[in-house]
Amino acid sequence: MLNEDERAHLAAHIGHYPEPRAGAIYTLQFLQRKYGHLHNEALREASALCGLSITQLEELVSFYPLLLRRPVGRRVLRICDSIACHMAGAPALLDEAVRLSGVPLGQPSADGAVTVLPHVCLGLCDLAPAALLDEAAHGPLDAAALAALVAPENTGGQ
Amino acid sequence: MGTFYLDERPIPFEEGEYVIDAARRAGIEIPHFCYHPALGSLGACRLCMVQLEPAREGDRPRNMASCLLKAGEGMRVSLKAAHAVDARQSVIEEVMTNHPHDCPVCDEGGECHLQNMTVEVGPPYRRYEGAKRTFVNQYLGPLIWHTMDRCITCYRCVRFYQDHALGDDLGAFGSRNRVYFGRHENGPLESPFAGNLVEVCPTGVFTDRVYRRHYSRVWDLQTAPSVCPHCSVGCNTLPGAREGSLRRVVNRANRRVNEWFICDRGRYGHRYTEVEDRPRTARVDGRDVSLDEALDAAAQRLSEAADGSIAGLGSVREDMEGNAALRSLLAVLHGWYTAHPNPDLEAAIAEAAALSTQAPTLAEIGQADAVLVAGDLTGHAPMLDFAVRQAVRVGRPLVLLHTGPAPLARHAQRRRQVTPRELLGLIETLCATAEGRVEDDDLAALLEPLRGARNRVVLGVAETLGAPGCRALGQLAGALGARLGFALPNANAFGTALLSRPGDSERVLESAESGRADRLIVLGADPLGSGAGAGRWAALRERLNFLLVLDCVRTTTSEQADIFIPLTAFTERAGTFVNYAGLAQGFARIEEFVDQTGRGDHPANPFYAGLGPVGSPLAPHDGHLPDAFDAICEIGRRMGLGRVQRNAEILAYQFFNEPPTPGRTGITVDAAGFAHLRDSAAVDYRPPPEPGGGWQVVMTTWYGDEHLALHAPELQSLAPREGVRMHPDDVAAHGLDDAAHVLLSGPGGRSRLALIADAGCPRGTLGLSRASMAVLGADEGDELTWEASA
Ligand code: SF4
Ligand code: SF4
Ligand code: FES
Ligand code: FES
Repeated sequence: MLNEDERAHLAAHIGHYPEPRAGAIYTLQFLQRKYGHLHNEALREASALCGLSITQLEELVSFYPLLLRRPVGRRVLRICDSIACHMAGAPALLDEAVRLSGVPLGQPSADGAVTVLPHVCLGLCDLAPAALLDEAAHGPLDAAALAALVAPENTGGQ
Repeated sequence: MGTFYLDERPIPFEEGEYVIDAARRAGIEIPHFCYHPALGSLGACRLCMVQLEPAREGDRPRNMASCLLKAGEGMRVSLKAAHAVDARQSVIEEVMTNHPHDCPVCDEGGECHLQNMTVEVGPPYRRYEGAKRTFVNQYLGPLIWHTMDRCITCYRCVRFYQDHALGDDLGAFGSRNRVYFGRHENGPLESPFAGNLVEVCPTGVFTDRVYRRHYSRVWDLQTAPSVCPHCSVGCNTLPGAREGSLRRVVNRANRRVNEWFICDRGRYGHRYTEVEDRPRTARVDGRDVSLDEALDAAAQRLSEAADGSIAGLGSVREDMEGNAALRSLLAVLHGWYTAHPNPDLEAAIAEAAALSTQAPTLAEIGQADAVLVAGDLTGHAPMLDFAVRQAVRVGRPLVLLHTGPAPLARHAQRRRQVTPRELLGLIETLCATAEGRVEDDDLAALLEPLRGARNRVVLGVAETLGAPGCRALGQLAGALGARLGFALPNANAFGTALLSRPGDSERVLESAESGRADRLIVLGADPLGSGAGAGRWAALRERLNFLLVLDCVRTTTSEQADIFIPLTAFTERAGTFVNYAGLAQGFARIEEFVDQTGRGDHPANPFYAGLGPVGSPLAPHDGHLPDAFDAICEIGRRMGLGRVQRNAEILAYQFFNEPPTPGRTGITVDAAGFAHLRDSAAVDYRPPPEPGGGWQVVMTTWYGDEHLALHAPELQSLAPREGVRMHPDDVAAHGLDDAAHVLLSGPGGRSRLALIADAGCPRGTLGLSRASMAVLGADEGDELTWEASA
């Protein structure tokens, strides 16, 4: 649940726009930072604040891969699978990431340390195949570099 | 105006018009998916590609989407150029890679735009051999079936649903080649207009779930131009029948009424014609008899009546012809006719109709600069509400005055909710404010969005406004210089007002109450059950020596009839309804059922051609059913009264130049008709009763609430929970909660109902459905007493 201050902060932000729904992305990002992901309750809070229905919020969340609808590990590794990275070997990297993390894409690893996600073009095509660990860019990646990225020493897992 | 050239053919265009629209007006349909005449251009599918020839030396030809290419003087475009053909084919090939190719089991078959485009544009064969994308389908409620794999991502569904119908529970999810069109979770679509998805989706993603239960290939349906019988808008429809049953109803375009869409009441309400308990057998004194016997018995018992001892109650949901026949019969018998069980409602309809000389069409409402609505349009005339949404959608202000809950409240820029007793005063003071006779900042602010607007529209709901409210709204519209229209009860209220004289309803009631009339003919009405004014009518049943009922549905009144004559439903006969704007529209009978030789709109299938016709006349179940006009004229004939039919034919169309032809645009009531209505409306009304400080009734309705549609099971499964609605603060103030029950007492009877907290009802009011109001004998604004009940 949002506390009074958070609610007031969001209301003030939304109030800057001519239409409340314009504040939806900011609100969703704010809620995601607070809860780690956007659960149903978070969507209901956003709906009440921005005047968009749950369906309309779900349209946004399902479109933007930076918005997460399910729980993730403490760190998130986003491996680009768009055209430049695809040609530079992204499919193999994604397979390798699944093997290393021991869980399918999108699931937190057993120790809760990391979640690997495929992602649309990160704007790092010059580093293809590229990835984003939380907010830090990495690339070009090969299997060894990937292994180092998701290694427990790096992600804080066991 | 200008001219451009499509493959050398000159095409005229209006300034700013897109190539695809201009070509369409010239009779050339450029292939398209995402473009839709009502939804406009989007540019999502690229199927409408044409080659734009270079205008200057040295330029190269370019492929352009014709739905986004503005026509220009002398512009040359080509559909036939090899590059354009290639581009269109690659679009088809791409959308078909993932298509499940399940056409043999797809309900869209025969009217699939995707299939038509694929055959027309090509390529004819599939090269792709990879896996296809698949989706999980959703449960979207009882009316619509979802098969997502067939989607071609044209976005027509969400554009219709969110942008035009202003619904917010259907969306486009995800991105890339996995865009999903549905709800955020399984559940019925909430929009009153959801059924249009079936028609806007160019493929079989959204199909008609009700039609599916008793499906027929569309080319085997026999159709006839019809008019929706479920409210006063009179939307034009195309019902389709086969083998003795009505299977579905779809939209039929008529610019003066609905152009592209109908509401779900109109699309699914027709199921009353097919329900198990639809009465199909005549009855005399509780015994099933042949129609012939029933007509004889009716003629006999009416002949025995003393002069002037017969009263007749016609119907706002029956056509002009049936009502005119009843009035004509009663005139010959010196009896009394009215179409309105409730004198107050009769007055409201007469007043509203008289004020509707300039009623705006749906398109005109959608193009208004500002709209003021008094009442809940959605529950009384759904497509009028839809028209208002078209104005709202382009940013025009809506000002809403209402008593009970109203779905349009969400879209109102300003609104004022009051108790029924306050509504008249509010409208009068608004009028005085608009005329500058009163200075009221608060009310001036309410009217503020209407200021400056040039093209204003005012719409009211006659049933809840009552006659004084309608008159006041007329004055307000006058003060604002606005066009004025009213949602009237049922399909033919305007028509019955043309057949009535002021005070008819009260005269009929008084003649029966005083014992002068002891025989009653009821046509298509339920005065003892759901009709308004139930209190007085129910008390009358005891005193009647004879009750003759003619109807196409089973009602409380039909169950108590001494003689009952079952009638055809709207598709089984021809007739005329007069809509809210005084437009008389004919509807046609679906002549006979299509047999396997394919006598429908589709060429005969040679395989069956040798089998010969196996069709049967419509509604053959228990032999032939009559329509009201035929039945009543026949009773007249059997009484030896030959004039009944001739007089009825004159009466029915007296205020129109000629009887309207089904499938044509309709004929507006003439000046004499409006003069008649003005005379009817000139009488003084019973003033609203003095407030007694009790709890006022507000009518809570919904888009499926109409007497015929109430018999349509799939639609009715979406009805809101029955109960009495009270403001949550009132609930709390009485120490009650949602689990409580309430015992209500009214002039017509008592009723125990579940208590429902609903912030849509003003404090101090009791929100009741029309059915509950009838049981209690209460109208909008009447006061009731209540107590908590165990
Ligand atoms: S569901 Fe139908 S209308 Fe909606 S995008 Fe897909 S094909 Fe178009
Ligand atoms: S708005 Fe009225 S006339 Fe039109 S489809 Fe709906 S119920 Fe029928
Ligand atoms: S394609 Fe991978 S970062 Fe752009
Ligand atoms: S119809 Fe023009 S892009 Fe779809």
